[in-house]
Amino acid sequence: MNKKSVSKIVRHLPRDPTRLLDYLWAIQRAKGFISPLDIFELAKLLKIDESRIKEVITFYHFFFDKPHGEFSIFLDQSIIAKHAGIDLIEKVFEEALGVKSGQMTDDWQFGLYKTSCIGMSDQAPAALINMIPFVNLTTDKVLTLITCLKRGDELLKLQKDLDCVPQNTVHQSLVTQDQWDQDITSLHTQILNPQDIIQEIISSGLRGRGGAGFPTGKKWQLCRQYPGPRVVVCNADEGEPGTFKDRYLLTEHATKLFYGMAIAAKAIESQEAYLYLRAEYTYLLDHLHFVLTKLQRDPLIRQIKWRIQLGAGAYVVGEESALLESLEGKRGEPRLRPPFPVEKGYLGKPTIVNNVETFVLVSKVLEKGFESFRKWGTDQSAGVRWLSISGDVSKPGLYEVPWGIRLREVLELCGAQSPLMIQVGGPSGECINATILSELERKLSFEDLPTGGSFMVFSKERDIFTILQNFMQFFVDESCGNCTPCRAGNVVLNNQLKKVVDGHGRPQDLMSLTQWSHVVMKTSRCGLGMSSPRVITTSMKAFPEIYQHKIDSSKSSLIFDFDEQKATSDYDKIFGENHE
Amino acid sequence: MSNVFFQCDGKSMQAPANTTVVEALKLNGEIVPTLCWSPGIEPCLGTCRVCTIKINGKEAAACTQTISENMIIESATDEIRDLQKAIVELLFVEGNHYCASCEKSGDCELQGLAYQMGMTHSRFPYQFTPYELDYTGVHLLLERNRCIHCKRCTDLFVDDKQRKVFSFEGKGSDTLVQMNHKYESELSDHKRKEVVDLCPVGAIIFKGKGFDRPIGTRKFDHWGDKIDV
Ligand SMILES: Cc1cc2nc3c(=O)[nH]c(=O)nc-3n(C[C@H](O)[C@H](O)[C@H](O)COP(=O)(O)O)c2cc1C
Ligand code: SF4
Ligand code: FES
Repeated sequence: MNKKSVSKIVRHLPRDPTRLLDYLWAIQRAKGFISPLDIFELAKLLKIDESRIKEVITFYHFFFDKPHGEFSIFLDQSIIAKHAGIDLIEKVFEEALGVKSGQMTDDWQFGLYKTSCIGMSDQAPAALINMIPFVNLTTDKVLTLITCLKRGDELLKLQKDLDCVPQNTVHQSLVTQDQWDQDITSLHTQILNPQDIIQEIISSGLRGRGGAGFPTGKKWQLCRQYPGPRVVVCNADEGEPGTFKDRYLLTEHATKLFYGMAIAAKAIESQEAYLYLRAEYTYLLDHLHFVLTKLQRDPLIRQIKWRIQLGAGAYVVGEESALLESLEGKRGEPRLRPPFPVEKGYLGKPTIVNNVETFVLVSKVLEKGFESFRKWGTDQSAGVRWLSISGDVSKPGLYEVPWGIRLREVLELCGAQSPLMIQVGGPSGECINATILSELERKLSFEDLPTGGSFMVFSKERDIFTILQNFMQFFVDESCGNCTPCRAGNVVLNNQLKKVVDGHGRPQDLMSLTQWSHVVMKTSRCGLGMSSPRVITTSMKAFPEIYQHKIDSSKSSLIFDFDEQKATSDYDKIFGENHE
Repeated sequence: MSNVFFQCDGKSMQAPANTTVVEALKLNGEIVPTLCWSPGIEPCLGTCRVCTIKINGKEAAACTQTISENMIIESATDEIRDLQKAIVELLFVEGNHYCASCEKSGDCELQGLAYQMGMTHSRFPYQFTPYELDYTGVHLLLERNRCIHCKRCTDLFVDDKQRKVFSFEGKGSDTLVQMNHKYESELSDHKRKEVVDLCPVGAIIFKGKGFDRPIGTRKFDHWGDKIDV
């Protein structure tokens, strides 16, 4: 284990508690984990309490206060990965390493863990090894991988040799990919003044691509009402299971992204811009720094103070106010609103938070003019949007589609294989029955079926309840724990769903599923709890028969067949009682 | 300060601008149940969600919102009352609350609220999650089975040297309150009392002390008298 002192490891970082995530990453990278002694030293260095550090370490998935292996392997648990065979991959790892998942080998060389969707659903099953993604895993690849790692081979070399490097497969691009024919460095000269920029964005009808679809120009205008200094933040947390379009945009269109952010900074007269990158995309960090450095020649970019903040694993941090908390080096718990970030955001400064794709589109709108953007889409949903399509389709990958496209058309584009169910917008989105033809005529749009980009297709071979339970478990795992309905309610809902799926449900259990979903949705503090029960409510609407099928309505709500002896058998065994 | 006019359950009301919705309603005789918030709690925490009401047709936590002109509020409707009660019931199944043997019985805000709402049982199945008890403090006992994660102790309490003594660790349903043992051991008499009183339930209590006040003199002993049963 590395004996270097904490103060040496973090020498390059400013003495600033808001950079706590960076400190913890630096220590963990150098030492493998963050020990009590490290916490003690760091607390002294930053002049904060140790408990403040522990609060943060225990909140995020990828921070460890105990050893977790020289090679820590995180297996993607998304339903897409499950269908692609991640459980078998897990078994192979377990057998080859002689550990169970959640454990570390005796020699501390390997640790095997599970994690939520890592944004590789188009190349499932996938895993992160020391935060490097390995996609398209097979049992053979896993066996070779372990042998080679034991032999001392380099992770990055193995990733290449085993053909496990993530690829971006673009099947259709309408706007983003077409040539950036402008001389980039001259872009800013045509940007007249902040008001013109905002007017252009408003005219384009651009709405946020992160999910909620707030009009982007209006958000910027609201922010301008509050006195500066103001802040621009890009949300690259992309945590919704099944989404990976931001991964692609960050990889291939980082220039447009940074320009979009710089244009936003100009519009709200800000000199500070932050990109919050989810930990699962750590492998993109160097690339993003490289692009940003290259762009420094341009005064539009240069006049801004930039920072790329690496997250540490927590879906809820995608919620914008939780993201700001995390950016300030704290637990990623959503804030109360009001005040909204446009008024009090990062460190209390007026802040706009926008999705990666939103900023990329801002560059395109400014480049091409708002009319050319508006010609796509519908009345309320202007322009195009990226879809991340995965599941039972012949062509998983990236599709840029106009808003207003019908589900039927999307299914044709991606080559859906006898589709049974479509999950539009991820687990927090909507469950669609793909066997009902009229449903397939519905349009992706804010008017009808909004989506943050996740589009998962499931064929008739799949068991719907397995999918739904995977989604509910995701929300149980990812609830931040701040508010009662989401923290306790999702656990209750998950158990109740299990009860029904296991065949123990009575007619009134379906009713309570609906009613309890309503409680959680209506009382939760942030969008996570407000939408997690949609897993249940939208699937009940789409597939009422599968729920009914699980219920034996001949049974009364009184349990006449209650087997008392069986129910108390544990007790009898322990106390050696025999009632026979 | 000038007054703002608003409506609640069809009645016209007014209250000084800048008051929270909870307080604005209270000034008009309309009581919204609260748990993480109580008079004097500042800033509001917004964690329990027991005070959920409807503002202009949309659910919101009343303690977190400021009253404004022409607000339309729904508070005492069956629908809202049921949502509020459901949250209290959720808290009862999430923790392990055995009022009969709890030192805080009669002084407990969760128990008081449950009685006030006429809760006889929980509609949700009990989880029976075991929580570890921290008995290693010098003065205080941390009984996590009773913690409702309101965050009063973690966010609002500091010792005489302005240091935080309590914190949260973990995430989601695994979130647990923790106590800094060094700071706890140095707590002054009045600070100990302050935090025991701050905790709405019996999760932070004095070590080596049982029931505090005789029955009849406890905080909620006469609360229900006014309520028709
Ligand atoms: C639980 C939760 C997770 C979210 N995750 C993301 C995310 O990963 N990326 C994102 O851009 N927005 C996410 N959002 C939406 C953000 O809160 C916010 O609306 C968005 O970043 C605003 O950008 P936009 O207007 O450009 O869409 C999430 C919201 C919630 C409630
Ligand atoms: S709904 Fe509540 S517990 Fe769930 S993530 Fe949001 S603030 Fe946290
Ligand atoms: S009293 Fe309002 S959220 Fe707890």
